[in-house]
Amino acid sequence: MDVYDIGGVRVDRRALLRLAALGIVVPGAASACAFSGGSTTTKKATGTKTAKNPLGVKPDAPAEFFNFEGGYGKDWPKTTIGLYEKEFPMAKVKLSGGQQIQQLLQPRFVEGDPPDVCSSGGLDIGALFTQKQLTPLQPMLDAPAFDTPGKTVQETLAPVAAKAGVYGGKIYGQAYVYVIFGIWFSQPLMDKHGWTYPKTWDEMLALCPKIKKAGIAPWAYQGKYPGYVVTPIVDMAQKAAGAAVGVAVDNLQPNAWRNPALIAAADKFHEIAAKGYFLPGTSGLSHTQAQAYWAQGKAAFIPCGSWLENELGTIAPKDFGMTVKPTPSMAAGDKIPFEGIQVSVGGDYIVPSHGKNPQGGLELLRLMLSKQAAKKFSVGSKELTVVTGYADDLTISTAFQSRRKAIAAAGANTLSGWQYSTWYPKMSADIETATGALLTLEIGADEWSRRCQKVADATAKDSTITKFHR
Amino acid sequence: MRYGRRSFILSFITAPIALYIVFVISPYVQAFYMALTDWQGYSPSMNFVGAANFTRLSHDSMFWLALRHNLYLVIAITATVVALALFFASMMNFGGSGAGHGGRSAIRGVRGSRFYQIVYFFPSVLSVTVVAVMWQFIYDPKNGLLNGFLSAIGLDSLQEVWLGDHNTALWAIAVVAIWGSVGFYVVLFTASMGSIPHELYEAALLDGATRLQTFWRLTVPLIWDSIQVAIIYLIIGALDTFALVQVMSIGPGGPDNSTQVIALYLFNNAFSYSKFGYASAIGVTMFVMTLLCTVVALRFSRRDRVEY
Repeated sequence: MDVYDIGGVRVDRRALLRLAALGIVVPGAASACAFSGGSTTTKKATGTKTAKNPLGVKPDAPAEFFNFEGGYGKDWPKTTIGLYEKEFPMAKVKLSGGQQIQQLLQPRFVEGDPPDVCSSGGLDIGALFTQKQLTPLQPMLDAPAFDTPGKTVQETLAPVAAKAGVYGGKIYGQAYVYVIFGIWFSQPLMDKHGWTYPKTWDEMLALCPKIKKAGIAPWAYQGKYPGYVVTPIVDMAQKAAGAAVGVAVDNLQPNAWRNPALIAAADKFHEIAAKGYFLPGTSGLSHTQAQAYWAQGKAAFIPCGSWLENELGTIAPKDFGMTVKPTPSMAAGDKIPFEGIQVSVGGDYIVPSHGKNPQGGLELLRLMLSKQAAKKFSVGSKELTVVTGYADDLTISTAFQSRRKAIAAAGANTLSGWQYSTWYPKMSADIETATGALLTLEIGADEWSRRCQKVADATAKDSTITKFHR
Repeated sequence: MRYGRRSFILSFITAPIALYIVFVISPYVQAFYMALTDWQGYSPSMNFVGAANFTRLSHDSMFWLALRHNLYLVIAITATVVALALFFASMMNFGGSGAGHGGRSAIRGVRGSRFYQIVYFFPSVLSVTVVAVMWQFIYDPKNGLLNGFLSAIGLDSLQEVWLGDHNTALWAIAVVAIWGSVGFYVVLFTASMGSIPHELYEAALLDGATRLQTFWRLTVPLIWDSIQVAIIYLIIGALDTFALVQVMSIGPGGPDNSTQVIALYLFNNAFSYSKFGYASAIGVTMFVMTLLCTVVALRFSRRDRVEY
């Protein structure tokens, strides 16, 4: 029992807490054993491992799948759950979910009653990791794949999936959606005016006045969330100076944000703003508003991730011909060719370690990473997953086709998304803020990089933030 | 008998006190304790860190920026709402007064005052979120009512990206807060003005007092208690500003932190940055500040009570 010295009075922690709780039962906080340090080891369901049950799931133990009910809707995990209940007919899997993940799950983590697998959008996984709330996922990745004979789960996934969700050298967050991030436009609109997508920034600057002359704003961005522009800045810098730029930023190296390539990339977008190439008023729009104006043909280009199509829904006209391309190259000497496009996968799915049936949680993930489940997911959401070799015969939409083409063109030149935004949420928010100021011309590119560096330095110095490295 | 009375009273107050302890006192006490820990919010374990969170807070430039914005809001909202509400309420009660109206009572409000009262009160009926979303549309830079109105009357040069410009964003939100709360205080002031005996006004009119004089010399002193309550409520409300900023501003809290307020900073520290201990320290600081502001406001607004 820890003992504290408070103004000369020695109190143990339990007494302090009793004082704090004033004898009132407060849900979560006062489950006395929970507070007294070492969490209770709840009895975990385990079964025997067999070829058909490689993770040793207890066949009759109930499990819970918690789904973030965002753009992909409520029902898609039902495919996975169906597979599970077919494998283990005696098990009952509960599908729960919501949009306010933090508010719904945080009390459950504190009480020691988290779901067995959950999509973590909005949860601070770094904090969950440091508080030992997560199950390592490697055993699931080493298990045989569900519907690809002779391969492990890991071998059926795109290699980039292994880079996400890594904390302290182990995978704790499983990636699922294979997002690419690029510049989106309507191919028919470009064809109509005889424009082609610029491969270099000089071409971009030559094209913008023509677009403006045609009565269309060359660019729009999701003004209220300037983070959407951080990604192309970061991509362009990475293409110019190589992947090392991003590693330095993620590892909080001194002066990482002062890299000339980053300043130059930021300056390109500053120039777009300064020359009035952004849709007027775009800085005050929400992401959905800006994207809607873009889909109505009021702006030609918009930076976004591949969830854009699903998010737009029916707003986009039928013959819109949504197409994605990589960011233009900054100069001839770029280290990575124009085709390099950012693939970002987030370590989105976690198996809490204090759940009742973590083996069941892992098994649910294994099934979710099957070709069957992935196909169903793609058809419903128009998104690719990290599972490989299931989408070749899927003809879903022009946007879906164009992203597959972009991925194929990039080949080995895919750029990986930077990790600092999931590792250090506060730093990420401050950098977004600085980028907003850059785009409204309150600061220039140099000042922007100074401000980013300042928040990175503050993060590096802050002893209360757990640091990660890649 | 005595015993019977005590149990009678107890039967009335036990339930409310129990509820008050569970839902008000205990969260406060817990927050005070959490403020002294490094709790991250995802597990039951936490370490006692003493006053470290408060030391950090005193060096946190974002906190000071947020505090400054809250103070701007306190001043702007309190002053404007009290002034507007007093003006509207007195117009509705005495605005139509004057001699020579064919023998009817000389003390009355402007024509249609009942109608205005309902109109003013209307925003108070709407939920804050509805108000915030509605105003977001009004401020929309491209299709918004405000910019549309400006261009319709030929003032295109005054058009702004109201919520996207760091010079206007905080004030754009303050306007919404003012719009949303004036109605309630109009009703409050109207009620207390209604209880002032008309004879006083008639006497003042006979003595040849102007409307401005009756307002300053009669109305304000006689409803001072209500004004004092209004000031304190408005200060507490402005220090607490959260929902409007969360829904309306860019970021939220932007652009460039120009609408960052303490409650939002607290919320982000807790729910986005997993720093519940630090967030509790902000909460405790806010609690102390609200208390101080209230005491100061009470002190400075104390006046001799006028009996009538």
